[in-house]
Amino acid sequence: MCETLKESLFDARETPCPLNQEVMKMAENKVDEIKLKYCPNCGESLLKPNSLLNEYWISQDTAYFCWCGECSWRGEIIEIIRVTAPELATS
Amino acid sequence: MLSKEQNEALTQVDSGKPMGELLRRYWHPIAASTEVEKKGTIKKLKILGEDLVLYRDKSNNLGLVADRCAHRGVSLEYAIPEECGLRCQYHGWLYDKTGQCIDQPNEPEDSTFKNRIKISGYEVKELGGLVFAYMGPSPAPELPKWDLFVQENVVRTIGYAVIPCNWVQIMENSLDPTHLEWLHGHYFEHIFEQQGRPQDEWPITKHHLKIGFDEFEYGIIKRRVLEGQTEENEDWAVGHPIVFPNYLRVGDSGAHSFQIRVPIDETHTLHFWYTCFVPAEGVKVPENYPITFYECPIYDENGKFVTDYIDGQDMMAWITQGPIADRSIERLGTSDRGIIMYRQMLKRELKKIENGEDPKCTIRDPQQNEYIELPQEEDKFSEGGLLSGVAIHWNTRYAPNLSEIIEICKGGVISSNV
Ligand code: FES
Ligand SMILES: [Fe+2]
Ligand SMILES: [Zn+2]
Repeated sequence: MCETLKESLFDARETPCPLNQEVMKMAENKVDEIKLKYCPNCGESLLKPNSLLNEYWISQDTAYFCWCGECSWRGEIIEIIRVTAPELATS
Repeated sequence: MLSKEQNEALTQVDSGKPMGELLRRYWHPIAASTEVEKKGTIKKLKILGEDLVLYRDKSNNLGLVADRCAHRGVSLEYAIPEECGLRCQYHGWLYDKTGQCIDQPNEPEDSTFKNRIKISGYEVKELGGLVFAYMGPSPAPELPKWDLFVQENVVRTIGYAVIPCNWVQIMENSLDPTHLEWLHGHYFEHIFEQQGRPQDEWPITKHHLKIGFDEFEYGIIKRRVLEGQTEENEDWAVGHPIVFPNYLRVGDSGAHSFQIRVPIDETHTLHFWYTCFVPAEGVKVPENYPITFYECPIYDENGKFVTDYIDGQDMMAWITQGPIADRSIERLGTSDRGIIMYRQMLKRELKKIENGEDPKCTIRDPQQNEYIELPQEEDKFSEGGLLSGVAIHWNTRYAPNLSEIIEICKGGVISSNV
């Protein structure tokens, strides 16, 4: 077993390997803390029960579907791990 | 994934809880008419966390009031339906259909005590063989006349089950098109294999190429493109609707049906499968042909889920998610976007009622309510009249008169008398 993966079994907080950490957390069904907190439009808390902050996954990306119960703003925020450019034209 | 708090807010159904208040803005079916056909019948129920009794009084009117007598709390399940209202069996207090106490036989004749006694009482109406209740603020909106409730020349059946889980996870299943190819496709093939039945003919294992969700006036239309199909096919071009907030409409050219999910409490749901069988071209359904009412089994005699029919498979999936699905540990992917859309719609409609507006699917204009037609696919999964063809793989296999219905729809003569 890879060293980082083994460590992450014992202490998920300190592993330097984010991908493995993610895998381990999923395997253990650990409850993550949802990172996002505030409405990007009005600044109200998105954690209030009348709002919707729904985390989900698009391939390797973590996405947050947000609907603000205060100002009704709806949108998605995607956490960026790696910045990529679209495939460039070949000719 | 949602926070624990947001999951709670989504799933609570009691009065005073946000979703409980939203749900109280709609008429919900609570029983089949045949269950309370006879004058003097009482049926005990729990709906939206409230213990209630549904009764038919001696003047043939239905009433729905709180289960407990205000006097000393006995259950009115054993009360006496009178000419006009329900009289408690213990000391004779009489309640009218609004729950107002109108008689206390052992109090002084000029006593005004009874005027101060009221238990909950809710409006009830019958339509299409179901009894509906409205438990929200007055004035009640129209009881929607969805096409299936009023359509002529069809044979109706009503299946039901009391499902030990929260209603939202059942609805979310209806916003999850891809489970079709797995739960009702590959898994079904596995069951066939286990039972030693031929699997080659099973047509619903086709892979989903595309799924889509569009909001429309009455809810969300769910669309799919399966392998071998294009957007021209009805599964995409027509799609089938989720009627907000708690109906699913499915069917094909031979059978149109609703699945209706009525919260009993946070961890139980009264589920109806309401089906209209459509007879062949030119065939006339016998006048007053009865609507049969039957239970759809969840478990077999060993306490295991009955997984060899489509609705049994769905129930297994809903129930094994737990009494209330813990959305703080779910892992949603892109194919779950319809589920997220539905959750957001619930919150948005809740905000409307907080602003004093009517939520989606509130119908107040009687003219709009004469016959509300919903989109209906005819050629399902490019297999034609598939659903009625496989009626034996659906809940309808438990309808006591299924073979007779198929005969009627084909234009045959009926011999039995249901
Ligand atoms: S793959 Fe969806 S619940 Fe297991
Ligand atoms: Fe299903
Ligand atoms: Zn906001």
